[in-house]
Amino acid sequence: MKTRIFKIVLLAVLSMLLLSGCAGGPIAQSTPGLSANDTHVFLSAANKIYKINLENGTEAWRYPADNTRMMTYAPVLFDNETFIFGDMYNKLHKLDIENPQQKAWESTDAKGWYQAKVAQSGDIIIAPNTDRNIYAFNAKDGSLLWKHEDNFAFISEPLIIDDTVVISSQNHAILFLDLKTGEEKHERLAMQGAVMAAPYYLEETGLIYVGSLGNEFIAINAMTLTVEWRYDGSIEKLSGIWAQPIYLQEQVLFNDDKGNIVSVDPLSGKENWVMPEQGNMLAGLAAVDEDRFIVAAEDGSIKIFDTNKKPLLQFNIEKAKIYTTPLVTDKFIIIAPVGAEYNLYAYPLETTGMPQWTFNPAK
Amino acid sequence: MNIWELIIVQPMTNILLVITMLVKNFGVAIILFTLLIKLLTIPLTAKQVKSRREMADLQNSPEYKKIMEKYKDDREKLALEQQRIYKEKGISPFSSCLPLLLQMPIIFGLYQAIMRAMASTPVELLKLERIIYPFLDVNKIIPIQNRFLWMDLGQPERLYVFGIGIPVLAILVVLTSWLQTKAMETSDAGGDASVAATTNSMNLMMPLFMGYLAYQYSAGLALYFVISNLATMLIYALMGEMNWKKLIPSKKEEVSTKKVIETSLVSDDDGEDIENKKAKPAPKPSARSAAKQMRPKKMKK
Repeated sequence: MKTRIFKIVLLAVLSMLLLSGCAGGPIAQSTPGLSANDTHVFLSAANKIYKINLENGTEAWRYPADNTRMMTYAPVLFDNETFIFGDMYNKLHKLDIENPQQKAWESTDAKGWYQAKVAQSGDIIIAPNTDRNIYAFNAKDGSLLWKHEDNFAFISEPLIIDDTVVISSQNHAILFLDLKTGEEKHERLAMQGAVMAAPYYLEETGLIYVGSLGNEFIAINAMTLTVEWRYDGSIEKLSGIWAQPIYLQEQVLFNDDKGNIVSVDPLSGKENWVMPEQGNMLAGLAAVDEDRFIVAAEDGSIKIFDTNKKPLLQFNIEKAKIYTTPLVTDKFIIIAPVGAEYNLYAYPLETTGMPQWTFNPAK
Repeated sequence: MNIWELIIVQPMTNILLVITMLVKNFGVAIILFTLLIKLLTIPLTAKQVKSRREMADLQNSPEYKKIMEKYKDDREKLALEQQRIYKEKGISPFSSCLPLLLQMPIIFGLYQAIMRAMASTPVELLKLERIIYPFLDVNKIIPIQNRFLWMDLGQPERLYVFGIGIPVLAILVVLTSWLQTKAMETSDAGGDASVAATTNSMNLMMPLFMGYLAYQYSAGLALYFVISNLATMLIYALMGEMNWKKLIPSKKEEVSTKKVIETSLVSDDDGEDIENKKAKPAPKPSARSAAKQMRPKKMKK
């Protein structure tokens, strides 16, 4: 009979393990969020946020410090005193940057996850949420100012230009909202696919650049909020665009998820050059300095090119999958892979492929 | 992409997406897809049920019990004799497991297809995009409209009443899982109290565990659990395998089972008519378990 009991218990435990395994571990699979100032890098990695010293990769603090349940991948937004981030328990937090246990406020207005970095203009915080709402909060006390509802979850960082909130929508559109009221201040711009990438504004040209999963890349006039040009280059078919473009040496550079890297003229959209299929990419490009940019592919390979598409360096992180756009500070290139030996790799700007420091949270 | 993904998860995910495109509602698509898979696996379920019945009948036959008793101290001989009986009766001891094993990949494929289609982060969406067949228009499919009734199928479900989030689906999952386990329970634990206690506690633990998953994970998964439980109960009920009387409070059941057993023992001793005695005490709680107790005695006579 003991064997029978053992078999029943074993079967039940196996079933539970099987079901847990299928459920995929955490609530959702996402990618680490990165942001940095001159002295520290902030890593949002599932159940904690880590503040890490940029010089040597040591941990300054973690939040929450105890075993309080939390899940976040959203990069934090910070100033000198506080930082703000949303989590997947539907909360938006504003905390003290030196002592995160000191809470300025917490909002529980949303019913869905905060996946994207929030944006701030003056005292207004704009926070996209997966409950199909964009929320505006008072930065001082966290009170809700307005919310704007649409048909799909909002998962990309908003852009604020003067009194206009420009936000990508999975509803195949770009939305333009009034910063003060949340009303649509201009007819939404229809796109050919869901828009995952955050819009990018270039003051020099007065244009907003954005791509969609509908294999397109466009420039929008920030004044008229109409399409200035559409990319129509030599690539037979662009693939889905998931990341923001960058501006370097009077070129706008963007990449699609097949790893096509394209350089266009910012004003006309005319193609300068194309580097085809550099590997599957979800992460975007990052400018290393005035003439170089870095790109990280899903397979863990990292490449540095100059703006004439000359390859300068290639290295890879073993066993890594990279989905987060590399972050470049004054001194370092920071990579946050998943599945690799370390959570963070920091390379000097003049890197040879050897990290200066790596980071794993101490247990 | 591994073989599992290629031959199970990818086709099932695409079928689910096609249904979604046709009915234009992901919640309805999950329901239809779950029912479709359940319908397609009915022949396997029927075979499993038939084999289980045959096996149970055999194990309750006097010939089998006699062998069990005779060779209880000689396991080798017992195994040989058991095999002989299986061969004579044309029954394979694994025949009830085989249909179940065949169903497993389909059930887990269905589960993974639903999880895959409910992508709600960029990485999950990217992975979904990659397994959509080229002849389907990705741009018309992604993103999937996750809204269904009051739920967002990509996120844990709560029905907000006066600001309090009630996990309706998780509660339904616990309830339907418990009903299903309880009404499909066949074992009487062979009269062993400790086994019965373990079975009872597992019968409670599993629904709670399923409820926990439904509470914690996306509503689409919880919806699938509920529909799957209801469909399974319906199929088993149509096959006559649901014992609804098991849902009646267990105290009565224990008492009446005891009475039936006592009666049958008495009848055996004094040689009175068993059918007569059986009718006198409280009605038997479970026809099958009572029959199990009665059958050998009858045979002895």
